[in-house]
Amino acid sequence: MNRGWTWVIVMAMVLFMAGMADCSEGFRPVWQVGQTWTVETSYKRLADGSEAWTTPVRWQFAVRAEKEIDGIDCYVVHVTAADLPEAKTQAVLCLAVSDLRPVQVIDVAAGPDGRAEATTRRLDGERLTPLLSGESAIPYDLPLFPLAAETREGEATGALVDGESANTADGLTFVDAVQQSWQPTATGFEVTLRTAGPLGTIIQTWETGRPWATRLTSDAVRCTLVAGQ
Amino acid sequence: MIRFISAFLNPDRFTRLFPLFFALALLAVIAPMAEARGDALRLQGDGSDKAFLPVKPWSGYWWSRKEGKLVKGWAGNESPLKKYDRFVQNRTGRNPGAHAWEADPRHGHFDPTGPGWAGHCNGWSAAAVMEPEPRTPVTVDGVEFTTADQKALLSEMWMDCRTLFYGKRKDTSTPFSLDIYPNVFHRLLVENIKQKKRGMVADTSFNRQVWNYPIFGYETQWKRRWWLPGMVHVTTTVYFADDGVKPEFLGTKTFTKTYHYVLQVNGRGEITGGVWDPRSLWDHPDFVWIPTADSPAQGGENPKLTPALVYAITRGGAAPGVSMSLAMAPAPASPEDVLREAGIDPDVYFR
Repeated sequence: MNRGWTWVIVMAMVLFMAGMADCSEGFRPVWQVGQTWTVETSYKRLADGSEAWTTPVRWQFAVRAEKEIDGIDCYVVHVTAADLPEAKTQAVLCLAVSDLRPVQVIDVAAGPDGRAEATTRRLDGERLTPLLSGESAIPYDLPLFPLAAETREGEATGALVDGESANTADGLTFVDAVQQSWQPTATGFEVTLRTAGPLGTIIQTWETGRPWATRLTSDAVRCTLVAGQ
Repeated sequence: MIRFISAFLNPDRFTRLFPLFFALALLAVIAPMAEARGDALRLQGDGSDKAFLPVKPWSGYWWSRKEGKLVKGWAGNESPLKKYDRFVQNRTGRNPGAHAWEADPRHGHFDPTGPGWAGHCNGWSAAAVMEPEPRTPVTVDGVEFTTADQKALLSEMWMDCRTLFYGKRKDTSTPFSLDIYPNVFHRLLVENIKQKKRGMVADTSFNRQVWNYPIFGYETQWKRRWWLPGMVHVTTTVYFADDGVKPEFLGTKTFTKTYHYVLQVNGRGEITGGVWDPRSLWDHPDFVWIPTADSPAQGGENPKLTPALVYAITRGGAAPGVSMSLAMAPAPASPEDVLREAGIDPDVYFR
């Protein structure tokens, strides 16, 4: 084999491996302990089924620690009401440092007697489960990362992942399919999560360099990232 | 016939068909076992279950927008919102204008030309689930409020609250749409009525009209058939509180509806889907929702009604228990204090 062909083959392999590395890494937000960001949220009003939304509430997300939770190295994110830190509605999100998949989630809300009550969810590592806020008032929904740019910008089709979320009630396990699809945009990705939960279909806009989705719309809430780099 | 049976039992034919008979018999034994493996499936074989809330939601009138009783009052009863305005005027020195807001047709709460089915059924449903029933008349700051007045004010106040919403509101009568799926409906019944003892609300009309009613109980029966592996036939009777009552009604008038559906079960015994049976295809809930107490009213409906002042009437002061503004009540001093109140040690997670 002459030297020219050898170089062509080597260059092709290098380019292929570089492409593979890029594909396997894909996109995911990058966090550091101490980082904070704020998400402004409006809730859909039930009456009349109209397109009416409540005045916004601001939720502050803070990466409080990096700790081993349930045997997995996790970011611990504490979510509180930005304008009223003593509010009862909060969340503690333990997300794997490796890919931000949910490991443990604690939802806190006022109970029937007005005192704060916690509900802890430990996620089944065997399931491909995006983080869904479910019944929480805090829209902390996260897709499965990384989002890989498998299609060129502007193409009509994006990548698709079929995940599932499980709820156990009185010994019965109900498994709902969660379909995640995404598509590259000029500045990042648009992700769609089709869920059977209260938020229904969730559409998020993710931008490179931002810690959280810059925009979220769903059947029940809509959010905007208002502070945080 | 005898000739046919004799021919069928011909030894040669029987020998040839024996593997088929054996395979079918084996399938009958193995299929149910295979479905149930790995999970304590509660829907094995035939069975039944039931659950009821310890306290039924109360019945109340649904405050028709067309009739406008909230604005005009009714025989022997002045408008509850006029009484509210007078009470607030006496207490604070200013008229909040709750009645004027309600009477303004631009706000859609009083609509003499509107459809006959539109009303405050969502406000009543949420109030009936979240609030104790007002059972005695009260006089506050010189204004007397009957139990009907108190129910009216609670129904108006709960028109706007954060809800957990499942299914899609539908404007057509076609059955093939995004109504709530029966597996989600079944999960919500078990999760809320049985496990959390929490009331939920269903729109029982699957067409364009909306008729919200609180659910307070259910009785369910299921059957499995070996020749339909992975499917469970379920019949569930749901108990609702009714709003077809006069404003003065006390207690709970009830009705039931029976739904038929098929749940899909995977090899691990997990419920993975469901379809409405033909018997319930044109008569099943459109959507289900659960009122929550963790978000304050935002004033999107009648903004002239202040929850704290409504509670001053219905509970004689600040609500000690469930309140729309409890989530924002400044009791503990910091977010970590709230976690401690909830039994979570912040040090375990943050340090």
